[in-house]
Amino acid sequence: MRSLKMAAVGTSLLAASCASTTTTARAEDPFESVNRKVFAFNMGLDRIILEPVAKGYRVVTTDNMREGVSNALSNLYEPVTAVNQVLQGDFVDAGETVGRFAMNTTLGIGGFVDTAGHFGQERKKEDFGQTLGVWGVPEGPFLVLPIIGPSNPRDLTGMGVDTAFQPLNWAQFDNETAWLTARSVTGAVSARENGIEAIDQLRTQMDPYTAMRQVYGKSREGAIRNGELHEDLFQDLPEFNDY
Amino acid sequence: MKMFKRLVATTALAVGLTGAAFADADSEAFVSNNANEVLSTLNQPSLTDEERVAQFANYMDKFANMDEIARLVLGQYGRDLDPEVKARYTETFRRYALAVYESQLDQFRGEEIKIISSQDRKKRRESIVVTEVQAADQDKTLMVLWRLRGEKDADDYRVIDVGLNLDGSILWLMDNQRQQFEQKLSQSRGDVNVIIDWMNDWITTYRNGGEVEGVISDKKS
Repeated sequence: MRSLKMAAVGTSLLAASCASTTTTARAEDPFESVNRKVFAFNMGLDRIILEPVAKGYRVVTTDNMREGVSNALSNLYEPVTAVNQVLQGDFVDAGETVGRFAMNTTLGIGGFVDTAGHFGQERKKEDFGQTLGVWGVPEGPFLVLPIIGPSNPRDLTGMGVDTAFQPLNWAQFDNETAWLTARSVTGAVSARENGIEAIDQLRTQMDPYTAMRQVYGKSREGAIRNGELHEDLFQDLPEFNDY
Repeated sequence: MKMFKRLVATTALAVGLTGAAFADADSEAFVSNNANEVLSTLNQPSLTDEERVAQFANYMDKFANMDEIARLVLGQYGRDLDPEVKARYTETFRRYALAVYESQLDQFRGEEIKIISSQDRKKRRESIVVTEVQAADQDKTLMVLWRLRGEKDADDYRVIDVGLNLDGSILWLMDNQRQQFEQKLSQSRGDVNVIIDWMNDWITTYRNGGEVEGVISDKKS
């Protein structure tokens, strides 16, 4: 699911198809050969399961219905965001997130309507991978995991910790396993539907793996900076003589 | 003497600052005029497909330095390339890049580019102009960055790369394409013909309205 979300983030203006295997190791991707095999597996699985389901979901639902589902899923994540904002020292943002959660859960009918958003309270998303990034922990080597998709040791650790931060995972109620499974499946389908165009674009790249790796890295960098562009726009941009 | 030195230093600083400001204004004006002209080209129902493609190519040649982009994308693999292969590659890359830009800019046809800011690279005639543009049929604003380079022996700039703001991180398309080409070339022992064939297939499929996934095909648009 994370791979789909990440691929969806930024491939939309790239152009061009076929996953391939290579042995050229880059410093940030020492496991490239294995990663490429897992990536090809994930893309194949996506093609036969998730993509048809996501496209079917788009056909049988309206824009408003899908937005409502997406809002409700995001609302369930707000407690995790709030904890991470505290850990990052963003106490004001954490307060706003708690306020958003309270308002949307009540007035927003369980989060289906982003009432707080209508009042100008924009949704922010923070995870523990970002928190580790803010604390200066390096991301480590690029990884592609079965089903989960692109990651790195920092983000993988973050995923585990975020699972512990999610109050719903600790709550005990009737049919909790069925409910949690339904939430995960709905989340995966909703995220995949949201990324239909972007993943179609990814498949048209000359080397989708390389495109995905770069987009993932860039997206996470941006998330750690809370969407703020770096002061020096030329940062990381080679001089023309260096090409 | 001391006073003279101070005067020279102050003047140099003033000239330097003014120069930088002018460079920004020039590059911003260049992007504003040309990008809007390119987007309006895509929004002329009176033109046939062929006329629209020809006019788009004409504007893009003024706006972007396609030959230089082709050279930079190929990187080290272009250095000792046979002149005949190089010429074929450059021509194919130009057609490919035009088709890609056309398909992707289509969602912004008829919209106005809004200049946000710009920044110059020290000691270089190089500038990055930050803009915003709204997608025509969606409630979506995209931040697009244009990397410009001053033309040799001329006052003009031309676009070398286009960057997309991924929520705070910039994805430079030329740089991304270069990494993909590099990957393909490393697998094919540097045989640029592999890249040329791939681009030709892509263009043919796109122009025939075929199976280029996720891209608005020429025939369908």
